[in-house]
Amino acid sequence: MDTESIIFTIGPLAITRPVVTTWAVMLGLTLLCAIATRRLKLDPGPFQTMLEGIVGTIHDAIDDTLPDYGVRLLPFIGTLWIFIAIANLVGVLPGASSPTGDLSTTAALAILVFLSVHWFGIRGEGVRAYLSHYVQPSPIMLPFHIISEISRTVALAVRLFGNVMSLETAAILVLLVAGFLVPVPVLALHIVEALVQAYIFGMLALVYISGGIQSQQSRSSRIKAGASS
Amino acid sequence: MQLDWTTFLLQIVNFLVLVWLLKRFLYRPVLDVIARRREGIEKALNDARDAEARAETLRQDYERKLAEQDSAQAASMARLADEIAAERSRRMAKLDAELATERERQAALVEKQTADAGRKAGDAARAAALSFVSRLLGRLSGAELDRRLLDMLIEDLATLPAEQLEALNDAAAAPDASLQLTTARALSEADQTRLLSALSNALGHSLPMTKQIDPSMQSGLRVGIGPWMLAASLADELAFFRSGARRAC
Repeated sequence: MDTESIIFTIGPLAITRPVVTTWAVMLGLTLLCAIATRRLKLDPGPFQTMLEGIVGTIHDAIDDTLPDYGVRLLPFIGTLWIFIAIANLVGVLPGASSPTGDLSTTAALAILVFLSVHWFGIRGEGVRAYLSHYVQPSPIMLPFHIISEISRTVALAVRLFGNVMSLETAAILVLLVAGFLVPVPVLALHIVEALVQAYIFGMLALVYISGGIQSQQSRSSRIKAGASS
Repeated sequence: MQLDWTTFLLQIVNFLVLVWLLKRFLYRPVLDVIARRREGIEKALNDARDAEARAETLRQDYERKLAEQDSAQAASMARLADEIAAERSRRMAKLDAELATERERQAALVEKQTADAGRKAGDAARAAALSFVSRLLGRLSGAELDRRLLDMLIEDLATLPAEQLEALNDAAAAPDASLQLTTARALSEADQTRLLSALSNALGHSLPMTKQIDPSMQSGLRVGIGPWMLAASLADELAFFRSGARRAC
């Protein structure tokens, strides 16, 4: 553990900077959402329209990938997109660092995605039916499936961590060696990259979850087709 | 690049808490309001469809009524056309009759006007002729004409019908009978003699005679015997001609 990043301790728990930053992000998001959604109207104003646009876009994106799963997956996927985007953008602020520039945070998010794939898959068809797809089309495929699950989860965590950390490092280096306004393009790139990485992470999570659900659905349809023939 | 398990676990918890918070404060309220709006839009759409259906029903009802009205109007128009044709025929017949009557009346009027005009023209022609003859004979009047008129009286007296001659004799037989001689100019002695001789022959005896000059007679003479008058003057002849011409019209 990097002792410099520990802010304070609660008993045996060492509270690091990414955790504190995450709390700050959570607090800000919660307050903003609580205030924004306190008096929603059927005839929306500009801010409510923007809010509905964000939620509606996320919902439609999920629905396009997984029809009828929009409402069910919206909290998880939507929170991934919103949290990672804001967490990435926090690094632009002077004196702050992105929580996603810490491997522990990105690993936590990747583990959550890994678990959610199985959670939604099992909720769809049950444990037995879900786990049986690991031995499809042959039990020989089981190690490959497992390796695939682990590698893509690791890739999720490392990709986000590597991109954000490298951006922050590059920005710091440019700030150290260049003049006053020189890092501005780097910061603009940081903003774009932050949004792109958030989109990639959320989209990959959605694709993995949809893969877990649709593999069950396709298997079920194959079984039904075989039974009817 | 170092994995801190405490941070790892706390971030898992943080994210799950954030999922719950955003679900509670963002997704659910926004999805609720979107759902309510969609419900309202759906309701408005349903109301609009109902209104459209009602409007369509009303439109069909209106078109049906319009078609009925059109057919009724066409029937009324046909009936009206028949009535107009019948009324026209009746009025034309009446007008023809009135025109025929009017033509007859106009023809009678024209005929009457033509007759009147002819009569007026005749009157004017007679008046002109009479005026001409009066002026002509007035200019021709004189002793010669007096003598000729005397000759004419004597000749007429000789050829007088028997009943007239008898009436003259009766008048001359009266005790106070006399002859009243009126002339335009004084007769010569010879002419008076011839007249008296002719009267004596016709009456069978002579009568006393009184003489009178009347220039208005223009020429000739007039002999009165009791209630009878023997006239052979230009004025009497013209008067006779005037009365005769008027009677002829």
